Amino acid sequence: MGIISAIGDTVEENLRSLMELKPGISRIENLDTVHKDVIRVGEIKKTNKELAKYLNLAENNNFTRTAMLGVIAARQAVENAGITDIDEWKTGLVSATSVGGMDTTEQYFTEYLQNEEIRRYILSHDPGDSTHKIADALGIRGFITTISTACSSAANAIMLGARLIQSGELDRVVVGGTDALARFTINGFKTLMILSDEENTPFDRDRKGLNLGEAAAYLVLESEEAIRAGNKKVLAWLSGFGNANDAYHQTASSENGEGATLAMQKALKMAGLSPEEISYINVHGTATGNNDLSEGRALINIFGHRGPVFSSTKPFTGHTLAAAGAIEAVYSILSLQHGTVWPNLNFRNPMPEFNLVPATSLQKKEIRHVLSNSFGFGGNCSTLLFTAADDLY
Amino acid sequence: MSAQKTFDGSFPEEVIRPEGYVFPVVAPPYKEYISPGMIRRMGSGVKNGVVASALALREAGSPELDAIITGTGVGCIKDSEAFLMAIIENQEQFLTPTAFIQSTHNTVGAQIALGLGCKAYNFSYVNGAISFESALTDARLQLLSGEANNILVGGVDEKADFTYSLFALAGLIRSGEQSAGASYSEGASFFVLSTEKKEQSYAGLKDVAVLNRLEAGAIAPELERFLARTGTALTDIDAVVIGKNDDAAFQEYYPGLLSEFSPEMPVIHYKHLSGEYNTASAFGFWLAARILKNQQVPEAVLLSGKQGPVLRNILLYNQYRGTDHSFILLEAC
Repeated sequence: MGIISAIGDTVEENLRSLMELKPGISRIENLDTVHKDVIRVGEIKKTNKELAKYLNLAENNNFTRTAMLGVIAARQAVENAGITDIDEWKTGLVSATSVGGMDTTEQYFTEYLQNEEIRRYILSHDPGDSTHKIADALGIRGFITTISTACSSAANAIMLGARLIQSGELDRVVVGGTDALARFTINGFKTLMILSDEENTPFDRDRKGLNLGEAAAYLVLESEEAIRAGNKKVLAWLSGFGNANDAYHQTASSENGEGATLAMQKALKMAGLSPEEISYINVHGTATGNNDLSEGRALINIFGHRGPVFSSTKPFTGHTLAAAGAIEAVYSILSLQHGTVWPNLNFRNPMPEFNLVPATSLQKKEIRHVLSNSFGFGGNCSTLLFTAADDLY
Repeated sequence: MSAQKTFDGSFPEEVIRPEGYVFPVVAPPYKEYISPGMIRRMGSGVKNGVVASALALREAGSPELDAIITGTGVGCIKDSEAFLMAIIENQEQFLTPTAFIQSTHNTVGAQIALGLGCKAYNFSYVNGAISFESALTDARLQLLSGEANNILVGGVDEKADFTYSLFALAGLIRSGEQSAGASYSEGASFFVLSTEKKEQSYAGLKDVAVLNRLEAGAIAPELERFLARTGTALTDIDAVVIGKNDDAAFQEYYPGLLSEFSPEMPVIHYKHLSGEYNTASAFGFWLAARILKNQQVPEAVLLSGKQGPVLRNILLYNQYRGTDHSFILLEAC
């Protein structure tokens, strides 16, 4: 696994921030927006210059912030997986992003007409651009692709990766997502009136909306054959996944959470698990009025009113859009590895519609199976199921 | 939907010779497929995607779908451009959400699902020239594993004036006879893939593969590796569909590929009629499927060679500016 987020530049730093209950929500510093004194964000406190220097990029590079974050996290994932020869096994890359290189496009969009010097960035707007740059940085040649299904994107990248391994198309695949903060998304969510001016409070009665965040996270999925041959340490098993469409509204979730219910059902069925066997749920929990109500009803549909312990980690990182599914996959696996439930920070009062109360403090317990939800515009509902490493094998 | 009259079956008997370097889709009668209120709100890619998917589903007998998988290179670029322009022009003030809502890359797949009330698996791939082939790969794996029986797969891209002017500045779109770039267009092609062969089936999908990087000199071994996956010999191929466009650069891959076959091999091209766009290869896929069903290579698309007595296997190869290569193998059914 590799990760860079508002709560750390590495897996270890993210783990420490989770353990020490240190959120990464702050005022925006690296992006110029008229909303900077109003909104709170999960920002990575590194300028583009600092990121480029860290990556040793040439002066005339055309890396967007999205691409730089992606390369940093994907490199970590490959290093942490102990991969020294990328060609030893048939390796691919499935990456997710919501708006691709928008962080750069929005700076230069009209200036491109006059300024020839910056035109090298025109082609880095394409969502596939960051994926190609990550593949080149890792030396991956072969199957690479990009998924964009709004805020469920990275969860879907993990699903396709699993499918590619299961079918034997690939032996190994780097999966995840990257998204940088952009005025485009800040203003988009602002017009939808779902940005909070305070720290986000998922599943709380008085929740005011989400905080946007930026992050990248990647995981290395390997076939059993590659794991055995390399005598690799398994961090966790991806034991099931489900994808469904709410088919209710372009941006809003249905009141009864039908799409989310279907996605969780499919994942449980694939893993052959009953709802009682789930130890912890890392919910999507964006802290918007609509999401938490819809997701809460879906949780009740599957788990009843007294389901397993659950929490949203978005008060730590903000909502990192297309990267969120991968960020939360990393946190789900850390939860399995350390027998710890991450708290749902900022929660005070349950919602009037039901009596669902998330974990509000760090809880130590045996964790066998973690269910992670990611939902997005366009009715996209995705569920991933992770199982402890010592299981099944 | 394409720059040709494909939606009503007039193509290839009737061929439009596109003028200029950016040509539009031949608009179908949208109101026959979409309600007037929706027509106003939908971007052109969404509208074309909705109509193309409706035509495909009707032809396939409207099976219950187990998945909707869409590929798009530029996505809903017009709405994206409109929202960004509004942000810039109004200094982030007085914005309305409509364009933002419609701008996400999965809007086409989402609107199709919404229209059909389809709650099945729904994915959108956005990786340049292999966006459609990624969707096809996902669909193929689900059909092979038995997870799905009927999948709607498509490729859709729309043009947007400002973004296309930037593409011209960047050398993607041709701006004059001597300039760099290719002639560009837009389009939407949708297909129903099934585990079961039906009376109305066009062709069988045997295999699909994508590659981010490939040296021109390495194309022959890569082709052989691809064909070997399905135990197909070079001599089993009866026609080759290539994604050659009118850009003077990046054409070195095609001679290497075609040198593997006899000079008599029918070589089919289409981008002179469809224009280039990230999912133009889905037009090529549509064309190849029709050729297999009709057992007839239309003159307007025959680049070289001669059609033999029977067309069993058609190979498709596409690349865009030296990256995002794809191979597809279709067989007659």
